[in-house]
Amino acid sequence: MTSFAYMLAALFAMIPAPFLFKAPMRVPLRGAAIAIVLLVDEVFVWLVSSPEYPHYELLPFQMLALMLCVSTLFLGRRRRLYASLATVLWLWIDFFGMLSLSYRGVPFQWLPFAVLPLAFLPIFFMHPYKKESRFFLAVIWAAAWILSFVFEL
Amino acid sequence: MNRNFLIFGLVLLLPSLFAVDSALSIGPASWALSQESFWGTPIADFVFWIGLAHAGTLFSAILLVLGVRWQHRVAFLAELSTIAALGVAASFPLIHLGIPEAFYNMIPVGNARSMYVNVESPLVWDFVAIFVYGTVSVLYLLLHLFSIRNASLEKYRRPFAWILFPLVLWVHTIVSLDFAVTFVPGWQGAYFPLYFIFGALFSGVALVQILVELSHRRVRAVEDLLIAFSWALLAFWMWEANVKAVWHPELLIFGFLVPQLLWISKVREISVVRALVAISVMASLWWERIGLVQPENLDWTWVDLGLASFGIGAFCVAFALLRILLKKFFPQAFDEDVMESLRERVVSFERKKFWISVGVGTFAAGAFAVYFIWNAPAFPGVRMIPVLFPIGALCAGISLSLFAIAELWKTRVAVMCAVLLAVFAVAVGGLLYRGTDVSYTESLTTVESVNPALGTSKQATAELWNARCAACHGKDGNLNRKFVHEFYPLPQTLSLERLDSLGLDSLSKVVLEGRNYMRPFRGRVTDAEAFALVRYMRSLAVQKKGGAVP
Amino acid sequence: MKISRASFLKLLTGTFAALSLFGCRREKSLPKNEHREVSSKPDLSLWQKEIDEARFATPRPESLVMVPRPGIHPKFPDADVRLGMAIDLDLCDSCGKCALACMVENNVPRVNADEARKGRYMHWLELRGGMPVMCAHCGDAPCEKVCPTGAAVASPDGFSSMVYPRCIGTRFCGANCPLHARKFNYTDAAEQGLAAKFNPEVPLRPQGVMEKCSLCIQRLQNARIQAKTFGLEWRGSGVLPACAAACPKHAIIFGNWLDLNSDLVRKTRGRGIYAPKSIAKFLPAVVYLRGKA
Repeated sequence: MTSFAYMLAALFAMIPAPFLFKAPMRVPLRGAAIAIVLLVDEVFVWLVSSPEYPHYELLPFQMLALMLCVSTLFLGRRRRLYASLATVLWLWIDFFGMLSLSYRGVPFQWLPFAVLPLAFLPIFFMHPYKKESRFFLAVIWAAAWILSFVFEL
Repeated sequence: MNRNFLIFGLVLLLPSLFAVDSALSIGPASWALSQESFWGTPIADFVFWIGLAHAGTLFSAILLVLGVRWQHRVAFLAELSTIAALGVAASFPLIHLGIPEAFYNMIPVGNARSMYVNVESPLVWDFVAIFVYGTVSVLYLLLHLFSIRNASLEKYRRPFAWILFPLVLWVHTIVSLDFAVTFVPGWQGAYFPLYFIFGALFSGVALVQILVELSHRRVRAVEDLLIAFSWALLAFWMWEANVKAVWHPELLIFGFLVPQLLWISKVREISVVRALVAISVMASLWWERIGLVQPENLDWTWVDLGLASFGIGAFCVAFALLRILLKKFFPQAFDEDVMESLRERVVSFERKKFWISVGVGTFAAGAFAVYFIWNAPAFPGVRMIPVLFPIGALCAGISLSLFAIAELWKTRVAVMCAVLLAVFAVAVGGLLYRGTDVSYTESLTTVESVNPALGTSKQATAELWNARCAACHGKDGNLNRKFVHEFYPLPQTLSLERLDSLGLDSLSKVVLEGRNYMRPFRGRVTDAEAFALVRYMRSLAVQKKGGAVP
Repeated sequence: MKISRASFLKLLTGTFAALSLFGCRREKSLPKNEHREVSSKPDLSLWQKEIDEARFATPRPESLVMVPRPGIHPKFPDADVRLGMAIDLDLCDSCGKCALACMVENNVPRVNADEARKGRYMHWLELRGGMPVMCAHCGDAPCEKVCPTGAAVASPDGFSSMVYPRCIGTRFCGANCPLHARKFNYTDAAEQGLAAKFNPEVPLRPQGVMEKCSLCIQRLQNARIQAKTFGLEWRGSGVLPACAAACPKHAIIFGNWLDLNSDLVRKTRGRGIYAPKSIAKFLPAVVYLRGKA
């Protein structure tokens, strides 16, 4: 997988973020919408990546986690709770995914785990609705995304 | 409802006890297992039931944490089903084991022989996580029950839910790692944690849907969740089809397409359809676990089916008995008006005690990690993390319960409980530390390997015959009449036909053990020699008959 | 739920009736023998016959890939012993003497007809398509990683050992072994008279326990003790596992991979070293020789 395709994946993942939680939606519709986003991510990964890439199995779910993280920036209420939950989801996917990959011989990389918890800084210690903290969050998530690719090589 | 549940459960449970009995007495040979993966239906049933045990926590803890207002009635129903399903789930790994009574070898305590359990193994994580989840769920249910009576306990519920919420997801993540970390091609999948969590929640919601239908109620939100989760599972199944080239159309039909019926409002109004949809979902998820554990087609024995029936029967009986018991001790929990009025309660959050408990849990987990790394440094630290959180959660949960006990009764009672618990833990730990005596008492005597195909050489056998047997049987195999006649009644002649009808095996046994007037020769000739002698005798008989020796 | 006295009694009677029916069941369990009688004259041709049967169950040889010469065990970087074997496939004519010798040395039981039909032979050394296959004693062993109790554990001598009393039969190791070299005791072979105690130094394994090639650990330990009594440092010399001793063509070479003067290292020099493809990346200590390097 090329770095360009990887960056493209991040951009592609973020497209639905502003719209997904904007309008109030019924539970089944919302569930279906998130699942369809995930399905589209899967098709995207299938198209641009190949199973040789060690994190191939994880990639659509990492894309989903990134999307959920970014989408919390556009929430109207309880942003703090949902932003931290989305970050934890990302950590969860990365940690357990890499743990199971490490048994297969893929080296465990620590960098996303050093970067992602930094996101709790703006979530908990800065005003969650201010522009600066939102910018910070976006930077940290983008950094986690990039670093998890760079240090794989 | 309880009565019907009990009868239905007993009808399934009692015959299935035959299967459990046979599974325990005969062992894993009694159900279908492949020689490649060694895991069978008990593991699939275990994953299925542990998945169902997630419903209660979803409805009471997770939704409480997320601030969703929820009916206490449904939450309570789900919590009870969690406890029952967890008990059923925990019995399956024990049935699965080759030596079920030795399961305690998995408890992560050191022992006097400085043998340490392998914290790298997902099964240790699994064991710890399920034990902790069971304990904490019971504590949470008790807290819920007591808080109905005593409103001052309400402020502990949300802190407790915050402990239970990650724990339940952690438990199923670990169940998924049982498969994900292996080298079995069909079991590998870095995406399994999320996949299993959603599968578990899906089946759990379906179970609650059935329970709600059976109590003649209707909760639209549960139906909505059913549809939402069916879409999530669709995404996972598609990804599995892509990554592992596994394709199960029956799952898509019964697990995805059937729940879509609930979109049609006319169909959705029919209660039977709602129940059938939930049953179809549960059946397809059970089938999915079977397909995961046993990718190849196996010939199931009746034990496989019996164990499945045991799961359902035991769940129904446990659920009904739990309800009967609780109705007796906590009648308010079954009172509609009381439960509805609980919705209006203001739920506050006991911050200080929550953080103290979290501190206790963190300390316990840290202490465990230090203890283990100190004593068994060979294990990679990162692979210990999955077991640390459950240990921390257990300690945090117990500490919160102690606070609640202090609130409910007196501080003195809580201190006493803590002391008793500590004594109990130390006693069990000490017992495990001491270990059990291991001995292989074998009443077997050592035997020599004999290969009659090779045998003793003919020359040696002839010499042996002349030395040992010829006195009576004669050098040429004809009875030494004169000699025998003096001491014994004359036996039958050992013709070739007679020798062949007796068989070489039994004749060599006669040589060793003796018969009638013939003395046993064990100790004087070896097993191999006895066999060789019999063969020699036969060859003499053949010669006498005029044929060539074969 | 309210239960009247009558219905309670009815329920009680029903339960007892069901339970007593349960007691009347026909035991279809395997024949049990309290005295564990073992045939006094174990006929080795039965063992030989089973080995020949098992050949049909595994008709295809393992596909081999070239690997570097086995070296230091990753878990014991300071050790100067890494025991292992090389099986010369150019010499091997798959006579099966190694398999029989292995079964006799380690008291490997036979299996009953039911298990044999399912291919659940206990042979530690199998002839897969004529090729002798046994546990490869991987350095980075998948079985050791998943064993919960530490029954499958790396020995400081650089091979993978099995602690029978620790084993509780989760069978996870067997599932995780890509070579399928681990065998599970589905039945109590001694009870059925299918096992024999040929070798007093090796215990018979109870039902529910995993087992596999131990590299004839009893012989290794004896050699070590002997060396120690003479005050010598034992580095894996002066001993042969049963299969290597039984091989008429000397195709199985045993030794210490880290001892440059050992038979093993000398005879594998300049040869092509291969390992089964499924476990090639786990640093096996038992390898195959074929042709020149």
